[in-house]
Formats: sequence, C-alpha cells, structure tokens
Amino acid sequence: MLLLIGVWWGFTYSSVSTSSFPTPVAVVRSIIADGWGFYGRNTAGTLARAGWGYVWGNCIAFMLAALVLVVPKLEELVSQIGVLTNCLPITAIGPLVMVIFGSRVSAIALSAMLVFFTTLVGALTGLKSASRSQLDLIVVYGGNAWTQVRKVRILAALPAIMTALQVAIPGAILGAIVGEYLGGIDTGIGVALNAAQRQVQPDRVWALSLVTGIISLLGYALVGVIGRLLTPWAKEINR
Amino acid sequence: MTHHPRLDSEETVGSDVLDRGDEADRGVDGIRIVHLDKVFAAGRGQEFQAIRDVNLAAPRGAFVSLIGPSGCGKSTVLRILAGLDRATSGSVMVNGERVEPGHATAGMGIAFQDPALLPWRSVERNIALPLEIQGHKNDAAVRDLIALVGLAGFERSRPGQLSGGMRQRASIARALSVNPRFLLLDEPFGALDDMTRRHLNLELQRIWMQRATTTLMVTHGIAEAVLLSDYVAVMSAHPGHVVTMIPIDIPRPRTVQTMSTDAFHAYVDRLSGMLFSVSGEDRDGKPASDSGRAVQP
Repeated sequence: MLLLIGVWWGFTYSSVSTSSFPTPVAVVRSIIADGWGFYGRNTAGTLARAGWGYVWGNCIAFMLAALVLVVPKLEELVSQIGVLTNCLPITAIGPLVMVIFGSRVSAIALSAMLVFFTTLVGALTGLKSASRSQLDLIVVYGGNAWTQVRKVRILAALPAIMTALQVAIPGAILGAIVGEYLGGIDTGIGVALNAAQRQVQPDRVWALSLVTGIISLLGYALVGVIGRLLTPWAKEINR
Repeated sequence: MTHHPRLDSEETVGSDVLDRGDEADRGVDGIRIVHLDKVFAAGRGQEFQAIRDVNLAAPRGAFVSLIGPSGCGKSTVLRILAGLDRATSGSVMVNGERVEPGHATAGMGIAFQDPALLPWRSVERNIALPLEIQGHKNDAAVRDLIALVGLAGFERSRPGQLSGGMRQRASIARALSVNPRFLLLDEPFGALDDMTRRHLNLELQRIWMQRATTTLMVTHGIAEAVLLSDYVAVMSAHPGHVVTMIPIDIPRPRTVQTMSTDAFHAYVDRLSGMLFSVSGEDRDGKPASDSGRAVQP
C-alpha cells in the first residue's frame, strides 16, 4: 500500500501533465475540499445499493445451492446458469436490466448479478468438499443423507462459502457503481464519477476511485475477519 | 510427537484370547461371508467383477486380517461388511446378524486409513459423533476412551492441531465409542510412520484384548497382520477371492519381542510367499511384504 503511494508520488512528481495525473497531495486536498457532505451522500447511496445487491445475490445463490443439495441432479444446470451470468459482460447487460427493471433497481440488479456467481460457485464447491470417508462414517453409524448434510456437508462447506462471500464484496460495489454509471440515479459514486469526468476534474476522479478502493478493501477485510472467527479450522492442515 | 503414557507400562491383560468369554457364545459366527460376489458397472455396458465367491468364517471375538495385492477387492469386502455397498450376490453376517445396506448394523465401529475426523469439532466431540447420531450421549464413556487411546489433555484440541498418529488414535477411539461388538478397520495405520504404527498396533491389541470385539482389519502390512490377528485371510486379485485363511498361533499379549521370534518370522515368510504367488504378474511394483523392518506404503 505504502509502496504504491510512493510509486504514485514519484511518478506524478516528475510527470509534466499533472492535469490528468494529479499528485497524492492534490487528491487528498480534493477530498478535503469536497468534504463529508459530498462523500457521505454519494458513498451512502452506493453502499446501500451494493448492500442490497449483496443480499439479493447471496440469497439467490444460496437458494439455488440448497436446491442442488436437495436435488443433486440439478447441479449441472445450476452451475450453467451461474457461468452464463458470469459470461455476459456487465456493461452489455446493464442497459438491458435498466429497460426491464427501471433505472432505480438496475444498480442493485447488476450488483446482485456479480455477487451471485461468486457465491454460487463457492457454495457448490463447498458442499462437495466433505470427504467420502467422512460421509461414509455417518451412514455406518445409522445416519441418513439429511444427517450427512447437517453434521458434515454444511460445515465442510463453510470455509469455501466464507471465501466466496469475501470475494463477492468488491463485486457488489463494482456492480452498484456500473449501475449508477448508466444514469437515472441522482447520487452515488458512479454518478459523481461520471460528473467529475465530464467536468474535467481529474483530482476528484482520482479521489473517488481511491475512496471506492478503500471501501472495497475494508469490506473485504471485514468479511475475512468474520470468516476467520466463524471457521477457525479452515487454515489448519487436516490430513 | 505425543505422549504414550500407557505404552511403556506392560499390562497383563487376560491370558489368551481363546480363554475369553463364554464358550457357548462363540460359535463360528463372528464373521460369516458366504458366496460373496460384487460386480461393478464399468461404463459402456462393460462390467468389472471386483470379487468372486468370497467365503470367510471366523468365531466371535476373533481378530481377522485381510491381506492381498492392491486391487484384490479387500476394501470392497470391507465396504459390504460395513453396509456401505450392496453385494451383487451372496450374504454377509456379523455376530449372527445379517448386514443390510442402508440399515446400520447395531454395535459396529469403523476406522478408515483417512482418520476422517471433522476438522471443526474438538477431539471429544469427534469421538462423541457416533453416539450423537444414535441419540445417546455418554460423556463419561467418551472421557474414558480419550484416556484409553492416550489423548488425555487433548480433549478440546481440533484435529488440525494434532499429529497424524494422534488423529488416528482419535479415529480409533471414535470407532470404539459405540462399544462395538464388531470392529472394521480399513488400513487404519497405513499412512503412519513405522514407529507410530508399531506403537498403535500394540495399543490396539491391548484395547482389543479388553473388549472381546470381533474385528476385521484390511491391511497391506504382513507383519502388522501377524502381530495382531487370530486369523489372516489371503486374497488373490482379478477377481478378488479368498485363497486361504491361516490361524496365527502365537500367545498373547504379543509384544515387540514377539516380532523377533522364529515363529513370528515363519508366519511372515509363509504369508509373504503366498502373497507373492497370488500376485503373479499383477504386482504393480509395490512391495508385497512388510516384514516388520522398513517397508512403508
């Protein structure tokens, strides 16, 4: 992190065109000048959309994973749906989502879409991570498929699910910002970025990107910490 | 490594296996395998006969080892005994009770080569798992088992914090938690180093002698089989078939000294010879014998 800032500083210090490549000082000044009112309003909007997208994307992913748990034959179909959503370029599908759901929902929908794939893959992989002998054991002692799910498979899936939930955080924020970019919304980081770009305010563009990056990182770290608390065994070698 | 608080103390348990229990209670129905066949579908209409006409009978309370070349269907036999696979034909009974896939056989304990502990559970909760599934909690029994396998002090540890040998002890303790009348062991010490393996062999003998449990162990180690067993059954491959079953007539408790006696070596040599001949061209480069000195899988 410090290294990156150092490189940036060094680069912009010697650079001639400081108009498109502001120094860190200029960016920080821009943040202070714009103040809490500007950032609070815009980040709150984006975070709310990203949050709803995160919730929806995860809910749908978990519901489909649960469906696969009950009807294992559906696994291939469900992962194909997942792959499909991941293959569609988000900028191409964005306008489509806007037409269908209206501009207010599109940011949430795009955010949910990016979250959905990550979590679905994590959950499906996780639910398969119990070993053969762990599952056999349950059967030998009189358990059934549901006992296997309760005692083994869900808990064995937790580390993979927590990793997916962590990786989905930047996805949720990216989806929300792209959705805002498409227009039809008054506030949000995407909206502010768009405006700053059009008004040729490189300091502010940089500042917004930086703030977004920091928010993403914080969310990622937070879920990481929760994951470590919930699954302390995940990092241990178990063989 | 771990402490083996009980290893160094020679315990005098019983006199001979054959003196244990009530005579009437021990017909030759500890394990009874009759005309057992297993055919797997191998895709594209092909079939693969894993075992053909396997027959085996051993009295209650006996320790039986099953040895044979890789791919001879030892594990298939074990899985059918465990009720995990369905036989194509033939029947399997343990302690007079018919094994039915899908129905847990009462009083059966099992341990695999992979300790198969649940990494999120502590040692004591792993050992308590079978009791938990069967709906009777017994904290005192679990505590006794932890002491029995030498894991006292590690009750709250997670498997990931233990050594391989300790995990295998926990796995054995879990198999014993249901107070089994029939114990199935699928190469339980196969992944361990030689020293740990010998220690656990002798501890298993001690535990087994206290409990009069009918036991079937699948193993690659001939020395291990001779050391522990009342009977060693030898299987040939393609398709798997029990060629012979040899009674091991060495008094118990057997010790490390037992392994340097002539009788012990005679059994090992005889079984090695048999394994060599049944392996024929099918040997896959793995040493067919573990004469108790250095060979490890």
